[in-house]
Amino acid sequence: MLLFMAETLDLPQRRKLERLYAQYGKKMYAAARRICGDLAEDAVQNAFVSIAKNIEKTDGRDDDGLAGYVIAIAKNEAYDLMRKTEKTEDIDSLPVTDPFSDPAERVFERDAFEAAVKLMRGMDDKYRAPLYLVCVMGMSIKEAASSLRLREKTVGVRVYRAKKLLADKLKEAGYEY
Amino acid sequence: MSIKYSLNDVLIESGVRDFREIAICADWTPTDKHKTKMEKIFNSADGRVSGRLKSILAAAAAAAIIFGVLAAIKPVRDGVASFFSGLFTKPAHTVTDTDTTAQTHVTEPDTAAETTAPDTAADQAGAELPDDARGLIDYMVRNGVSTAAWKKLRECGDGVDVCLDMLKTEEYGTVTCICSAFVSSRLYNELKYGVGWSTATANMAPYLYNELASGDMCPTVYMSECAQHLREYFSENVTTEKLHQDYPVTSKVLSAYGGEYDDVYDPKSKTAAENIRRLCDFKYDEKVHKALLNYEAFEYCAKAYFTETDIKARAVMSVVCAEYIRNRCDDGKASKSSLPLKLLLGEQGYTKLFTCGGEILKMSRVDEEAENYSQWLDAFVSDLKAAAQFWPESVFEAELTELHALLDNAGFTGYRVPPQRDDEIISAINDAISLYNAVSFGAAAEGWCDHETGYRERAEEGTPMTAEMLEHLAPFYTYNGDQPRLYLEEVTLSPSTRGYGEWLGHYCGVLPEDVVRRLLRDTPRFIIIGDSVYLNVFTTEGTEYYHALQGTLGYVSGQDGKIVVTAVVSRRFEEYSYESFELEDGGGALKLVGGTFYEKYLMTDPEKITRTKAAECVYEVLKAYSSLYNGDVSVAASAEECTNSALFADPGYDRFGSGEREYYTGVYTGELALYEYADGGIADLMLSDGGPVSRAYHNGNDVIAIMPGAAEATVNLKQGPIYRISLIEFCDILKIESQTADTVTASLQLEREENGKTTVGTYTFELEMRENNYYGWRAILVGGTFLDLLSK
Repeated sequence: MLLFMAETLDLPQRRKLERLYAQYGKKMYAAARRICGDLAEDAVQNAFVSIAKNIEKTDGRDDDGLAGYVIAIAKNEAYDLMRKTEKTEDIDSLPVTDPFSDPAERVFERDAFEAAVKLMRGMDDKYRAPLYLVCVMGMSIKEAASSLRLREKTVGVRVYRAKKLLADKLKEAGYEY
Repeated sequence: MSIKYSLNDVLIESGVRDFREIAICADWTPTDKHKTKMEKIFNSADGRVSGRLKSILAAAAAAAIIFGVLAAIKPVRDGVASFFSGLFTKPAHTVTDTDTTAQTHVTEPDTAAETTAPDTAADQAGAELPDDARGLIDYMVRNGVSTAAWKKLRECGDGVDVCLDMLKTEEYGTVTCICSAFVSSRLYNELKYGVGWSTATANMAPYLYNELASGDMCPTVYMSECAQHLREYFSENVTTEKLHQDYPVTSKVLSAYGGEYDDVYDPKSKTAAENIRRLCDFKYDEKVHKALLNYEAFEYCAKAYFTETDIKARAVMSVVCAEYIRNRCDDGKASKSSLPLKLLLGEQGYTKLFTCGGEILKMSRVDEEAENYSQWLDAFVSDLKAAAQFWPESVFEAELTELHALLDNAGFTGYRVPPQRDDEIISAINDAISLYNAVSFGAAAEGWCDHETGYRERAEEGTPMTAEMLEHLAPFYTYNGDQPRLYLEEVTLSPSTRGYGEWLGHYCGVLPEDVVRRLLRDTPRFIIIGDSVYLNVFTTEGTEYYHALQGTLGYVSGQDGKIVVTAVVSRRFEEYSYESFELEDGGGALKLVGGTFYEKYLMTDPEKITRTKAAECVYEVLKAYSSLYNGDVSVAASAEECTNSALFADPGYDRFGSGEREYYTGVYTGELALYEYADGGIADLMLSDGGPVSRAYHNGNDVIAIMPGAAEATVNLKQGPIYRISLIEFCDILKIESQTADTVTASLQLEREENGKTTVGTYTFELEMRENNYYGWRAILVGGTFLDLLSK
């Protein structure tokens, strides 16, 4: 698997991967260690395999965007290592309306934005990571599912639930957008 | 503000904040297995990775290991702290040694240690522990503190001696941490289990104090307990005199933790200076206070007051003088004591100083001939003026009438503006900032441009409005004399809900009219078509840089119809700057007419702008010079990341040449201002092979590596290092020799230190104003003697 991944990358892509490792590796390790302890190194390795698969998605991203991405992937790999079996997501309640159909649409006032950031930071990573990949990294559900090693339907549901969770909490707190 | 954010913004921002909060596992050195796997990921199966890249990877791994050792200080310290925290708090198991030496008849809670310090990886791997104390300390520095190593150190007869010896000479954090902890623990047990006073006890005691001062590992309760034991031993075995003479630090421990310990501390034996310092350093002590009320102390305070820089000490001195005069002149009627010193030393020291000042004034009527009194009073009034700026005049009128009269006589009118006007002041400042945001970022104030319900659209070619807009915008998109280049897709317009007349009318009440007219005219963000106004929102990045007043006002002083305010202004979420605002108080609306914010962002005097730009250029060049030659490079994230980044940097890595080298590296945070502020070739010269630094480009950041051998020159201003001087201050320091519309010649006296030799000289700076599409107008260093210096 690892060798296969390497062969699919050209030299600039490999260098980019190396730079990502140099720049974020230690923080990825730190984030992963909190979740899976001694398995953190494995999580980092797996994360890089996953990043390598979608290395072109990192093109044109600034540091802010990449930081969130690599940490999300590392955390996901850490969770993945921790769980024995992936629970099947409840996919009965597929979305009817998407609370944030256009994630680039500027809908938050400053106070709502700050509240949303706070809520997002407290959100379970299993919801947050798919949302990040799909909205910020521009991945398709399929690509995100591949990166996170989840089923497509699971990713779709989690993306929807993450949005809904955020929307509901904001509404509950009295923020309008 | 009508600025809005998207879900993507939320996700990115939350990711960034998370990222910033993740503390790097600095003690993590990748395992061999991990390295192998990562290499497999990086390396191709067909060997296309160049030898150079491999060498980069190898160098990175080496650097990571080196850095790991350096960064291990904190974790090791934490480890030791944790180790001792457990050792001090868990029930101790007493083991009594039979040796007669001071060091070895100590008892230690072995089991506690064993339960709090797991074996290190080296221990688990069966590494053989050194036999001698020095070797064991070295082992723990490298591998962390383990029970086995600690136990063996304890068994070394000369453990304490070696530690004390190393503490005297070593500055390396981990060594001092371990040694200090070891000595403290031995002392603790020696005291706790009653082995009696010894010379070793006294020698070890200072480290109790050090431990506490460093805040690293000794709980306060432990210190108190130790102090208690020490007091007992001292009272039985050591005279007060001997304690003071031979063990001053131990005496300090007892002073800090001893409470009342009459036998040890006798204020009468101290000089006034020592007693003043004692009150300042520790806490209020009635005996010390009384000891200060004598003529010698008064004389000392009256003289020392003028040169003393510590405000707390000055306050103590003022009270000593006041109380001495009062006591001396007391006719029996004013028998109540003046305010006790302990109140003065509290947070509200200034308030008490005022009150004490009133006491002093009362006394002065009957003791105006006291030695040094008039000098002392002048100095006191000067202090009083500085302090009174933070208090409304009404407080003085109602409660501090004596001081009010004194300040009146001194011609002082700069009291704090009544807090009731704070809202009015904040509103005026916010108004001024909102105009700046509108014309700089297209971000209008609430109600002035409804981004939510109003349309936001991209300009389309061919419409009459677009034609007018293009006419307005074209000058802003001209670059290097080329034809205007305007890409309509860069323009996103939001119509203002107010006409141009309303903008002008409102903001002319907030800022001088010429400022407002220029701001509204000279910006690509504010487009006037007829009386309609459109805000050019431009890019998403721009909106994040808007400015906003944060928190409450700081200094709010009013004098001569003007109010001067200091406050914190935020930029882009988490960047803050401390700004001043000078407001004209015409009795009606307040108008911003000066201050740092006004000068930096709003001022209109072309000559002043040119001078400021010139100063900015010289300021940045000097900072760059200092950084690059001195090796004092700001690091964006952590040295570790930068080390790796630099080594991975491509293609700049080649500039360093080949072979093994040492690197100090940093991510570019402005040090390479030479590229932006100095004429082209100079920066290249400095950054070329053999120059003081080398530069590479990596992932959007410039990474520079400084060659240690070349980092040997610094330049300082007479006023101090450049990094301690603000740009506003520097504007006043830089001497403008001549100036035209687009050139400036300035000079500056600099102290230059090279190879340990300092020379003072006046350097000239020839600057040329140039326009850059990205930065706007900027002064560029094109000649002068300082540039010659760079070219050498």
